[in-house]
Amino acid sequence: MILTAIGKGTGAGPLYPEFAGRRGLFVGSGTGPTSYVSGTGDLVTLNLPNYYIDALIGGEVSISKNYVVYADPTGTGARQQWYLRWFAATAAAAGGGSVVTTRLGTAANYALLAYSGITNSGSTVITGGNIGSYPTTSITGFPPGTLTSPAVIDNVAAQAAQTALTAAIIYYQGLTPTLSGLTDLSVEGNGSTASTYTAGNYFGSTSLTMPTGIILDAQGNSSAVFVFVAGSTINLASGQTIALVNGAQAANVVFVAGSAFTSVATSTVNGNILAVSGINLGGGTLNGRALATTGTVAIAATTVVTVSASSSIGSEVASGQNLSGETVQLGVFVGQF
Amino acid sequence: MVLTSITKGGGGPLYPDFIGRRATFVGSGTGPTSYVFGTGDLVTLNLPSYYIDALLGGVTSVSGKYVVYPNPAGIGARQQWYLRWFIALATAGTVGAEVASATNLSGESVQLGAFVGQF
Repeated sequence: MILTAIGKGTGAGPLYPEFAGRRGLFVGSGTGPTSYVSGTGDLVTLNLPNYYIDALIGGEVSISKNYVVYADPTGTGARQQWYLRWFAATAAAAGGGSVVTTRLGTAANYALLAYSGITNSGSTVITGGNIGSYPTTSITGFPPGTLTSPAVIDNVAAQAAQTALTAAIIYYQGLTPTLSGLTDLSVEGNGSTASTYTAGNYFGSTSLTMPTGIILDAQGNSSAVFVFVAGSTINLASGQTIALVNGAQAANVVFVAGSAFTSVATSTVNGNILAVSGINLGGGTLNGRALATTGTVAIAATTVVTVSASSSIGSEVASGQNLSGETVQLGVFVGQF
Repeated sequence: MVLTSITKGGGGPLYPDFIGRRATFVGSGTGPTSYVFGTGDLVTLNLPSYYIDALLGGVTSVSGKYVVYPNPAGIGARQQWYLRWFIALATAGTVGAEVASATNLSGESVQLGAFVGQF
């Protein structure tokens, strides 16, 4: 953030810095970063290149009222670097803790989203998100499937959600791979075991399979994001689990299938499934979303829980979150080089 | 809340104290009789010809029950500054939560610093 000295109306010069002896007062305003770094914060500089910050006065609510900012120096003494740490002050800001949820836009409101309809068989339970399909609006199998209030069938908003979903898929397909050329995720991990993955972007040019379960290791960073992108299908075998360890959160996991995603009963999927040509959940549990831009979503006796990142009021903003729409005005004690 | 300049015993007010054309100010005040959740309590000075450039918050009330954060209405000079009250002690409620609307905070006192300008 660059703090720019406040002025007294249009055309007038800056009101600060104002000196008391060799030190000065400064009041400036600035906007948040486009990609926040949790645990580090956002480096603060002044719009005056020959001044440095002696003390940045934080403990203030952003103008939107959504965040509280605190000053965080790298050390004591003059000419330190000062970072601004951002924390959620409202439930709305806390709910935005997952960058995946933010990226999905209105598609994040859906637990199941399809293009050619949704078919269910058996005692499926949907919690935490709506279900909808567009342009084919047929939804069958509810009941016996159930939606836990306030989740509803919403085909009206599905068209806009499809647009948001397409944009999200294009975004994830364009990420820089951490590993590429993958085919069998069960044995190609980069973590502590062959089936373990640390935060990153994992690409396969064609299909990705999981004949046995995989482990997603956040290494203590609850903001860690895991992205798996396949050129065609993604398959999780029967009875297998996509497991989360060391703070990993299902809300921060994404599977992008260039064609279809399939899981076989009684598998457990933790993450958001984004598929270009249909999703088949054969039973078990999905802690996340099943969102398809074309084709159907077919589901059989699956418990679907749309999860949010476990962020709460007072928690630090997650890494990657865009705060450029947030503005603060802060007081500073400054010195001159 | 009206921030009233602190004094040195029986002497006159210690603030504002000028630094060039701007001034520092330290004052104290009490909370509102009926707090407004999500908006906070408008802060004014007991000096009608002065306005607040920056209010220095992130401090607890004298009782230690609450922490207050300044919240400007916008950027630039002559903004309105609100004080948002959050719970700091479990005896006052859920720590970290903003105080509920209509809560009477008139028994709570705070002392705050500010950078001020003169109309």
